[in-house]
This record gives sequence, C-alpha cells and structure tokens, in this order.
Amino acid sequence: MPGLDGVPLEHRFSAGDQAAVALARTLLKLDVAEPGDWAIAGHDPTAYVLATVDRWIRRHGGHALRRRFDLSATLTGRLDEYSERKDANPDGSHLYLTVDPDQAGFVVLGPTLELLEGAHPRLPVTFYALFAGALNHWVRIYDYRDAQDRVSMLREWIEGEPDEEQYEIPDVESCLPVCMKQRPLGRRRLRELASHLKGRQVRALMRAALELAEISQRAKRPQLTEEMREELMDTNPPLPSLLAAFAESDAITGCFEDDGENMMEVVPEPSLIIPLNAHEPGSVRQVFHTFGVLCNTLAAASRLIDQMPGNERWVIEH
Amino acid sequence: MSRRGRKEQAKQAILGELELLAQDRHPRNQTLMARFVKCGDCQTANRLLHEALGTIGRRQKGAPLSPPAGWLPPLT
Repeated sequence: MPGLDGVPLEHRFSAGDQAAVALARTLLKLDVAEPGDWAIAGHDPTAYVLATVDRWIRRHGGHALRRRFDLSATLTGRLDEYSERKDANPDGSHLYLTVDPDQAGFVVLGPTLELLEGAHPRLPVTFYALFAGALNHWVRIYDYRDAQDRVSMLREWIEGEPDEEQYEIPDVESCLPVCMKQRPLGRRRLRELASHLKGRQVRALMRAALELAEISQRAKRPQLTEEMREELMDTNPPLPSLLAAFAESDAITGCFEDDGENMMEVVPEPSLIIPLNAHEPGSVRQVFHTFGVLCNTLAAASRLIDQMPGNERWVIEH
Repeated sequence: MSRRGRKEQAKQAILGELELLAQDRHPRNQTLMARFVKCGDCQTANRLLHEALGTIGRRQKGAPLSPPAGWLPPLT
C-alpha cells in the first residue's frame, strides 16, 4: 500500500470502552485472562476480553460442544438490543453474559431407548430424564413435551369449530415410545444397577448420562431479577438449542417446524443470562465458573450424543 | 527470569496500559486523530469549514470583495 513518509497507515484509539477496560483488568488479575493474548488482541481491551472468553470456551470443552451445538456468547450492557436506554453499560458495573443459539442441534433418541430397554425396562426413561434434565438446566430443549403443548393449543383453537374434523393434528402420542411411560429410576438405584447392566454400550451410555447430570449440577443457574424480567417483558421464550426427537421425521420434528415459524416474530429471550459487575473480582470469578459449567455440560452432552446410535449424522459444520 | 516471573512482568505491563486507558492517558489516545475523533466540537468545526470551502468553490465565478482598508489580505 502506498503511504506518505511519517504518516501512519492505521490509527487506533479506545474511547467509551470503560466496561471492557474494567473487565479486562479484573480478568487479568484473576488469571482468567492470558497476558499472551494482549498482543494478539492488538492492545485493544474489547478484543482482549473476547479472546479471553474464546479461550475459556476452548478450555471447557469448546471443541466437543461445537460438534452438536451452535451457540453464541455475548457480553452486553442491555438485554433488549432494541431498548432505548442510552445509559446502559457506562462503566461495566452492570453487564450481562448471555448465551443464544444460532440454530438448534438435533438428536434422535429412538435407537438409544430401544437399546437400553433391552437391558432394563425403566432404563430408557431414566436415561431421558438425565439427558433432558441436565440440558434443560442451562438451555432449552424442544422435545415431546413442547410438541404435546402445541397439540393441546391446536385442539383448544379448533374446539367447537363446525369443521373440527377437517384439521390435521400431529399425532405426538403415537410417536412416544411405550417405555417412556415408565417411572425413572432413582439415582441410587441406578448406580446399584449400573455395574450389573449387560452390554458394554449400555453401560457406557448410562455412565455418560450420569456424568452429564453430575456436571450440569456443578453450578446454579442464575435467577432472573425483577429488573431483568422488566427488560425482557416484550420478548419471546428462548430459542431451542436442541431438538430431541424419537425418529428422524416424527410428529415432534413436524411440530418443531410449525412452532419455528413463530419463534422469531418477537425478539427471543437469551437461553442463559448471567449478570456481572466487571469491577468485582468475586462476581467475575463466579460468572466465569458458571459459564464454564455450561460449556462443560454442553461438551458432555455432545460426547454422549456421539455415542448414541443413529446420531452419526447431524454434526454441525462450522 | 523464570517463566512465572516473565508472565507476572507482562501482566503488570498490561495492567499499566489498562490503567492509562481507564484514565484516558494512553499515548494511543493522544494522537491528533484520536483527539479529533473524540471531540465533537472539532468535528463540527471541520464540517462547517468543509461546507464553507464548498460554498466558495461554487461561487468562484463571482468577483472577490476587497478587504476593508487596513485589513491583511486573506492567506491561502
């Protein structure tokens, strides 16, 4: 590129990023941020914070979780991006780390449940409770319960209509395996049973499901405050991060597609919101711990899905 | 110096830079361009000057007025 002697080709300056400066400082003092990333970030506090978040994700199973989930993490001063509040995020004392899905991953459960049923009649529903419970603790899964809700809503809408019989309602109940109507085993009973289960794959699946459930409980999900609820007043429910169906094209996937048409009509609520004060080391440490547990949970779920028969496809290309 | 010592030194250097940024005293923010970008008055003055020069350009065909007696001639 041609240039004039003594005239720099690039000008860099930082202004109005007091929040990023405060957070970068706290992350460095806590040894969460790496000094080596400062030069890579071009001595820019915002880029440095982003590099630190990226490094944190990599340290907490980032490679595995990206195989089955497509999520974005955002540091922001406001929950509603269309909010007219101009004073949001002035000094970093009131920030949020949010997580949103860019698209939903997909898991097929039918072949896994069938395999587990051969070992014990209550194992499929137990596996499902562990899998869905661990993930729902952090992100939203769209599963047969959402499909059942949609069917109930459709039935309410058409009730009393003269041509009620003309409407085609998805048959969610018939795609639900019979084994899912059993009662899940308790954690203690399952541990007793686990070592005696027949089949290496069955044992591996149950061990991985138990590990997933244990990892997801290593941190508490932050509760929404009154102020946060107020900011989210006009938002839709969070977008699903995973679609869990029993077969590739069953009534659940059909309901998901229909529901999906309205999910973006209004801005959706983030899947996870973690409030933080960039000036308080205790707050930042807790936030990064919670965020690490979320990443580890998703990574464990990803590894489990990799083991589940019938899920060789559906790996997300980034 | 040990690896830990070098890391600590790098950490302190970054904390120093961040402190300068927090106080808006970082050399990067003291360049003419940086001061201009941050100063709304400078930008407004620049816009007015730009518009004035444009207006002069459009009126080049007109006869320039002589400066009042005793005034210095305009410099270009």
